[in-house]
Amino acid sequence: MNESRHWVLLTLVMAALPSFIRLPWWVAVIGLAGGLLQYAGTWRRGWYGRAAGLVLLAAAVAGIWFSFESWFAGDAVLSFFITVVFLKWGEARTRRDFLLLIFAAVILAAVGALSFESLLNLLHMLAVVFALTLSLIAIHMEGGKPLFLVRRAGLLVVLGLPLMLLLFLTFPRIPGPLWDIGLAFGLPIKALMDRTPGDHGKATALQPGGVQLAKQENNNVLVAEFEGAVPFKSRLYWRGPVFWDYDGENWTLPDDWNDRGRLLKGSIRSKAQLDRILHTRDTPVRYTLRVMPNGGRWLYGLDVPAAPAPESMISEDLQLLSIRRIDDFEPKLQMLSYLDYSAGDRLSPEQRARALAWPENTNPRLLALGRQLAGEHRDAGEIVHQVYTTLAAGGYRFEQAHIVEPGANLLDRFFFDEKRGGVEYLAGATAMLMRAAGIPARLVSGYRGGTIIALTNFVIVKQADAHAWVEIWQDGQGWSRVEALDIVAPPPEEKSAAAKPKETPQPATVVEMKQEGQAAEQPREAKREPKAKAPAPRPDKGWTLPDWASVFGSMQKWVINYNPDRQMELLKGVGLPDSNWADLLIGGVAGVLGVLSLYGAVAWRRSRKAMDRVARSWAGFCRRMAKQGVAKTAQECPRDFLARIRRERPELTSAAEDIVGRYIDIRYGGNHDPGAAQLFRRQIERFLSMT
Amino acid sequence: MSADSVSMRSLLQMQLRWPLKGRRLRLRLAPAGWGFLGLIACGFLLSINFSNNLIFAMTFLLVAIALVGWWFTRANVAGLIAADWRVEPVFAGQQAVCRLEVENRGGQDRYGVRVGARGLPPAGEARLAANGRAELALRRPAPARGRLPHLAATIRSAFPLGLFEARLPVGDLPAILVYPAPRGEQPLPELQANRNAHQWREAGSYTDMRRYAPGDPLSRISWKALARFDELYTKEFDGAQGQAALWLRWSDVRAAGVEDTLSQLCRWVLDAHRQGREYGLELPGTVLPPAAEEQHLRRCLETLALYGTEEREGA
Repeated sequence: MNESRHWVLLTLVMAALPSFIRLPWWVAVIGLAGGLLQYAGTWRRGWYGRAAGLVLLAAAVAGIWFSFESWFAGDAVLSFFITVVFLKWGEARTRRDFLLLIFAAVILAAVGALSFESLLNLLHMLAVVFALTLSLIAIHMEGGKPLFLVRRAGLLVVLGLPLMLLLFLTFPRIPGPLWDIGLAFGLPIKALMDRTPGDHGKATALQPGGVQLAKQENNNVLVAEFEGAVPFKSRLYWRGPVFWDYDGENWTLPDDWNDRGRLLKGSIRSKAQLDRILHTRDTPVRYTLRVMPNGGRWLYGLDVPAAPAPESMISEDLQLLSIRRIDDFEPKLQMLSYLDYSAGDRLSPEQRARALAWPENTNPRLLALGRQLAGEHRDAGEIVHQVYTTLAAGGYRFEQAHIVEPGANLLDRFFFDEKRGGVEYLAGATAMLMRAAGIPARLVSGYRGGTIIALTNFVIVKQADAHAWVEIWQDGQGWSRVEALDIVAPPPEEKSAAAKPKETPQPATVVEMKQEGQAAEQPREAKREPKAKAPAPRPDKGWTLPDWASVFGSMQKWVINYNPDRQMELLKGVGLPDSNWADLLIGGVAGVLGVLSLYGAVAWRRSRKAMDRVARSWAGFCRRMAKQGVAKTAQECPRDFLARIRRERPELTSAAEDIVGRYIDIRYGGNHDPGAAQLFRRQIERFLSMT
Repeated sequence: MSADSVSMRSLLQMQLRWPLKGRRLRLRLAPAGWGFLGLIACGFLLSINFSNNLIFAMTFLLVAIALVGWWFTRANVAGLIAADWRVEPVFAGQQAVCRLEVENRGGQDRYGVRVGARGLPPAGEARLAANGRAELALRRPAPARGRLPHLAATIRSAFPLGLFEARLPVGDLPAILVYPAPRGEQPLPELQANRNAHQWREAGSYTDMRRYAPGDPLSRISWKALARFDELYTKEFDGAQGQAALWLRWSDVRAAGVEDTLSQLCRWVLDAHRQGREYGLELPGTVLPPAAEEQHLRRCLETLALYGTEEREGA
């Protein structure tokens, strides 16, 4: 036990090292002081030793009180955990104590990995697991020598690495917090989440930075179960409040936005009515919607709902609204939506005026740009294209956390000066630019995308998916969506675990916009490339060294971003296009068994080799003697065999005597010297070549 | 040819014998293994919950190491060959030491090998060198006189990780005779027997001549016979009268219960034997006539150990 405790200490220190560096200095001090108590011997077991432990614990509590804002902040809990683990090491004596400690060390390393994700961290993790293996061997073995322990642990880890790789690649991944899975399978949403007063969609005004605030909340908004494949995440727009009015800073809803009578009057209650409004519609999607109680009426239907569901209506802005307030019940609706559409019958003069309104004396530069665009281009599509080009080529960056200083001419400052910010600036500026160019535009808030629960058709939408986008009016086509975000920050490649892309013709306008978007992206890419290459020049050394930094960088990306989609891609690469998680699991298990049996076969061969060479050579000798006319019978012992050789083939006696003597010595005389076996085999070879 | 077939046949027999006799190597999770399993479960929960690939990698590495460790543990015990158990009778309150010689015919060293049986304290671990053999000992407490029953025993090892324990069944622990604990303050009863001990080893009048057997004292060898027949002969005599033989009687013991009486008798038997005297044992229902050999001592002790147990078993 006494030698193994040092290995345990090594494991602990190694596991806690990144946390020591990150956390306040007193964590390391208290931890190491607690650890020193282990060396205090019998002193530790007396009352003063225990008192010292208590004092250190109290110091840790005090440190947490002074260093952290909350008792339950992540780092506070981690600090406490580390100090307790090291104090425990200080008093550990039994095998069970040490086992507990090394397991705690691994958890510690894992928790440390939550805060950084890099390849360096992976190496650290490998080192911790190696130390764990070493400690396990040391704990369970009396008097193991360090070199022996290191070699054994190294062998275990090295043999384990291929298995790890196999499991890593093939184990079916279930993304997302585990409680989401319970949610998907029928637990009521509100049982899992507290109601939050500040529901993003319920707010009557969209303020700068509002989406960022909403995104910080990690509460669930709705769960949708799709029939059939889940569409691409980037195409899921969950429609919330629609804003027409901009006062220069905030987008606001009219005062009577929540008036039930007005809503009912303007609402679309029948499918026929809706069909009249929808000019084009495509990609129907059926799903079951469950919305978390939010205190308002928003049901966040998928854009655009094809028909109202019971107990609900569709407003004139095409939002799905509940007739009752969603206070403490969880609406569950069977819905049909069209992902591709353009809608709108006609725009009344007052609506047109609202959709073109420009607050007096604000954002002059944006207004001027819009007017310039309107002068250069006639067609709304061309203007949209022009705006996309500007966004793509203008060096805009999407930074949700960046807040543009509130005040006058906010959008001007965003669009022309800072060029970075959250989605509300981007959408707001786009909408206002459209208005300046004479195209009626409005802002829609809601959610985009969601989390697909792997292996299922469930999508969970959280506050973090909050989004805002623009809709513009074109006469004869109605409202259609303009997504500025995809130009600035292209959406992740459109892949979905369960989806087979549907080959359906899309409405002309959408297709046009998409192509324009892609076309607009290219110049930006071209412009960026030289920048990326700039720090690359290296002195040429005759033979080029591989660029380790880039190799590690891409490996790091690959490892850290490995996900179910990549998993499927990999399988396709292997030649299994239609695979599901069961295939993955079966493949993984088969692979693991294969590798294990390979190890077994190698070990078996290695253990047999030393023994069987002697037997094999002896059998060769016996065969040759049989050819010479003296066949050894099964029951004949070597000495009798030799006696028979002496009688029947006296000329072979001297050679046979030597061989049989060696054989008896090796097999029965207890001579395990490998040199003797080698000599024996050489003698037989010589015999075989002579006769 | 023949050697090949022989080795093949023995190999086949070795392979076949395992499952047929229920002597298969089994692995089970050791307590540390359950802890490790918990650790892996924690790792999975963490990695799935935070969708963190690093923790996934770590968890899979832990799984992989456990699997490789499983294999190593298995290989560490597989193919060991055990001889039969050897054990000496003990007195109640002592520990019987059961010894088993184990041979490692493989080319790899085996570590942390020990023998174990259900309910017995763990034995010390031994290392078996490649192609070597070692004697493993298992201590079995013997709290009361009588016969300790057979007990299934296994060769065990948790090397290297201690997560799994491999168990290779070997022959059962033999039944162990437990003599009563020698206790009691009464001195040996004197001169109760009607006859004196006969000491065959002492000289007396010449009776016979027989062939020499190893161990016979040199002074008894008939040198005349050697000169004549060129072979060794030993002269035999009728022995001498030694000290008086003792009768160790149940009725002479002043003790409260059966066990105390047996303990006192056991004490007497040992004392008398140490003094080299001839003694007889008289228990209710059993009488062993006086004698003085080692074998007699064992018979006496066995009678004491099993006194009353047959009837109990019968009832």
